[in-house]
Order: sequence, then C-alpha cells, then structure tokens
Amino acid sequence: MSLLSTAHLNIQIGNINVCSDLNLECNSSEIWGILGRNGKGKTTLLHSLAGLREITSGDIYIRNKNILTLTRKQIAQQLGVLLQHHEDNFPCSVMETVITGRHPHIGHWQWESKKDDFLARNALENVQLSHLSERPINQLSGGERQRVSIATLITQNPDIMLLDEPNSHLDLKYQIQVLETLCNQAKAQQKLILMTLHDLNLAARFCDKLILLPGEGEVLQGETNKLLNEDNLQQLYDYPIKRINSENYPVFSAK
Amino acid sequence: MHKPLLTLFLLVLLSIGSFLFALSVGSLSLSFVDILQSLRGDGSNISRTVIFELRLPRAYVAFITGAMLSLAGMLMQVLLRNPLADPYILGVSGGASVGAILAIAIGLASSLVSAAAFVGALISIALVFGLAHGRGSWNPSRLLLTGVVIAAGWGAIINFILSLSPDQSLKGMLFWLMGDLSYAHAEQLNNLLLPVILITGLLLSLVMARSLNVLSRGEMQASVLGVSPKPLRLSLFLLASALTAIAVTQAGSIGFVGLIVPHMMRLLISNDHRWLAPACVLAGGSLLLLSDTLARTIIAPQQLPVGVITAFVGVPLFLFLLSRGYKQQVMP
Repeated sequence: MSLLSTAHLNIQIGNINVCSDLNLECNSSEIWGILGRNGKGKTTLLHSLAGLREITSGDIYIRNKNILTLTRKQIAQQLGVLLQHHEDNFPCSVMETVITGRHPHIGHWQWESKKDDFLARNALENVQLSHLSERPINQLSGGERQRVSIATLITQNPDIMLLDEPNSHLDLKYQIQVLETLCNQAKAQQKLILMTLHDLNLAARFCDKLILLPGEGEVLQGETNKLLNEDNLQQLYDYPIKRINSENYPVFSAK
Repeated sequence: MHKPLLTLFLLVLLSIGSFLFALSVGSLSLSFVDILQSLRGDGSNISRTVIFELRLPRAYVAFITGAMLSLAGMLMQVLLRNPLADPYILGVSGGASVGAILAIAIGLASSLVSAAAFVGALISIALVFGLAHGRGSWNPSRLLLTGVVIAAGWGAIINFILSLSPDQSLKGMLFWLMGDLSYAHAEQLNNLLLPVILITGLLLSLVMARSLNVLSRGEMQASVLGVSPKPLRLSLFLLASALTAIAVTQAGSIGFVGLIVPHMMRLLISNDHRWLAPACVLAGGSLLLLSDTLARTIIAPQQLPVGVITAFVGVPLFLFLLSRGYKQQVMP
C-alpha cells in the first residue's frame, strides 16, 4: 500500500500551471526530492499534497484514503510538514514550541504526558539543541530556529514527512546531519520523505526518487540516478550544468 | 511547587484580598470582623446594608467585568495574532457606546441604556463579521482593518451625538464612555447569568487553549498540527465578541484592562494559554475591582469614572513589567 499517492492531479495558481495529470505513488522507506526553478510551484505542490490548499482537480490519497475525507487531526497524525516560514507571535520557550508537535496525538482535556516530554527532548537532542531548551524562541538564530521546527516535526512523528527546503539557514554540517537523521529515521521506521531542494548535490546524495518541475505543468519523475543527467538539468534550470562522477555521489556544478 | 501553579494561587489570594479591600473602604470603613459578620448575616444593620446594597453588588460586577474584558483581550490577541489587540479593537465597544448614548440622549432608564448598549454591540459584531468574511480570502489583517475602520466610524457617530447633546445629559454620556460602575445595584447579586457566562467563557477558552498555543504559530502551522483554522477562528471571534459585549453592557467601555492584563500575564506566567486564561480572569477581575474601589474613594464624596483609574494604575504597572520582562530576556 502506498503511503501517499495522487491520481490525475492538476494544480493551477493564477496562470501558472504547476502540474497537470500527475500520478504519484510514494511508498514507505522512500526519500523523494522535488526540484525546479523559483516560482515553478515546488512549495505549492508540497502544500497541496498536505491538503493545505485547494487543488484544481484530481485526487490525493493518504494510505489509499482520499485526503478530503480526513479531518485535519487525522491528517496530522500521519503527515507532517516542515514549513518554510515560521511565525512566533507570542514567543514561548524552545521546549514549549517543540512539544506542540504532540498536539494531534493528545485529546482536548489531556496534558502532555511523560512520554510526550521524552519524545520532545529526544528530538531536541537529534538536532543538537538540548542546551537551548529553555531559551525563548525569538532569541534564536535563523539556523537554530529552523532546527527547532525540524525537532517539532520529529516530535510529531508522522509516517509521511513533507519538508520545504529543510536545509535553509543551516550550516553545511547541520545540512548533512539533519538530513541524515531524518532520512535514517525514514529508512529505519518505514517512513516516507518528500522534500523540495535547491541543492543538486544533496538531492543526489539523499533522494531515491525525484520529481522535476520544469514548468508548464510538465512533471518528470523517476529514479534519481536516471533523472539527474545534464540534458534534464539544463531544461529544468534553464542553465547549463555539468555532472561530474566522483566516488560516492555525482557532483553537479554550474558551467 | 510548579511555578505557574504558584502564580495562579497568588492571583487567587489577590482576588480575595481585592474583595475584602473593596468591602471595607468607603465613607463608612468596616473592619475585617465586621465584613465577616455581615456576610454571615450577623453584625449591625448599617454595615449589612452598606455591604449588601452598595459595596458587594458593585464589587461583584467590577470583578466579573474585569475578568471578561481581560479574557476577551487574550482571545482577540490570538485571533488577530497581534499583541496590540484589545477587546475593543474590532469596534464592539463603539457600537455599544452609540447604543448607550443614544438611549441616554432620549432619556431612557439605566436598564434600557444597558439593553441599547448590548444591541449596539451585536450590530457592530455582525457588521464586522459580515464585512471581514465576505468575498475573498480571510486573514487577520483584513479582520483587523475592517474592525479598526468600523470602530473609527462609531467614533465619528459618538462625537456627532455628543456635539448635539444638551449639557445636562453630557456628563452621563461621558461617564459611560469612560467606563463607570455606579449603575451596579443589589438585584445583580441574584442574577446568576454573569458568573455563568464568565465560567462558560473560561471553560471554552480552556478547551481551545492548546489549539490557541498552536494557532499563535500561524494558521498554516496550526493546520499542519491538526487544528482546523476555520471553526477555531469563528469560535474565537464569537466568544471574544460576546464577552466584550456583555462586559461593555455592564460598565461602559473601560479601557486598558483588556489590553494590559493579558500582556502582564504573558510576561508573568507564560504564553501557554492553559495557564494564561485562568490567570487573565483572576488578574483582570482584581485589577478592575481595585481600580473601582479607588475610583469611588480617592476623592470621595465625588466619584471618578473607573476607566480613568484603570489607565492610571495600569499604564505604570505595565511599563514596569515590560522593562523587567525585556531585561530578563536580554540576560538569560
């Protein structure tokens, strides 16, 4: 059974055609990357798959159930999203923010249990922020704030994780560490990850499969290795890109 | 002891203290023993009369009004995701004021003034709701702007009525506009509607509280974490408006309580709305009760409108907490 799938999905915003007749089938333990130029609808596609915005036509299924038949709470128990923008209107501590990840799993009158607390602390450890757990969230740097959001997602512990530019604001070290943590978790616990990425090298290193959005509603999908060739990338980014084969992963650089 | 729990406990003590203070001071000062005896039904006739006819009804209305206003302020702040939001920001009090001063202008009895204020508040709520939820997408700024403009419109109408009114009704109108509790009377002690509404409002806020914590991270993040924003937004709007309408109907548009109490509590307790909601109820009630006691005693026998005192007490207190709060944040 596929975790997340679409049938004849059409998404249009204004006069931008993000995808037409997209049929996706994403299974557990898979890591998917979504690549495309600015403004071609990577984030829109991700938000649509999470049911956060209306689609033009077609269907989206979570575990073969149409997303329209699920409540937000039911969706949140299975699917989590790392958003690109964070709002902190009434700033709480890092720990209080991370533990909101448990919200979909707790009843109305219930408080967070010891187990929820444990999950949140564990997640903070995963992104190496344990030392800042009592710090107000508005005093963090951009990279630290991004890691708090990732920890919130880990605390939510969904089987489907949609990540919108997970490596934004992160140093090279954390880019690799955070993606490694998430991807290892996905493999070990049969989760699914879909993420938008700008960095081709990270895509080549972490993604099993790719969705390319060259524009005009066209969508290319398939195995990372087959899709990441110079012709496709030239068309995708409207710029010549060189693929250099090195020992572990191919390396890409703009010509 | 758990820190928020301790703070709540202190706020309970503060509330009890405010009641005792309000019952004891005035033209006839009563001791703690007098008050206890009177409340038990003993004691001298005169102290019983003073307490049950004058001070207790007024203290009761003041506490509940203050509690409702600050709870409504807290809800508005989350709804609009704006720390500057207060219960009146969407024009509820403007509508109520127009209703009330129109009633005063044509010389209606004080109970009818309250009814007119309530109707005015409802009209304003319906107007803002209809306009902000009309065609096009909903967002906090649109609601905020709609409310602010409607409030400005009511302000213009108020000034228009004031400038046409004869001198003898002007003072009553101005007191109403500044917020005044002298209308409170003994029968209100038997009216259980007010506490029932307050407690219902508090319980509803507590049911929503964890969702409010999530909603303060933005509507998108709230959806991701399993909160349907639409029904939550609607309940917030209706609950905050209803509490404000009832508070304004009781005591006119008393300023500052609904803005500064939620803020003070955010600085003192936390931004976790499960603690914040009961804290706002207790602190808002106490602040208004203490202010009203000062308003009727400070230059006795003359009485001041309580809205003047809430500003005098609230502004410095708030500035103090604000500077303290920021100092703590700078040096963690």
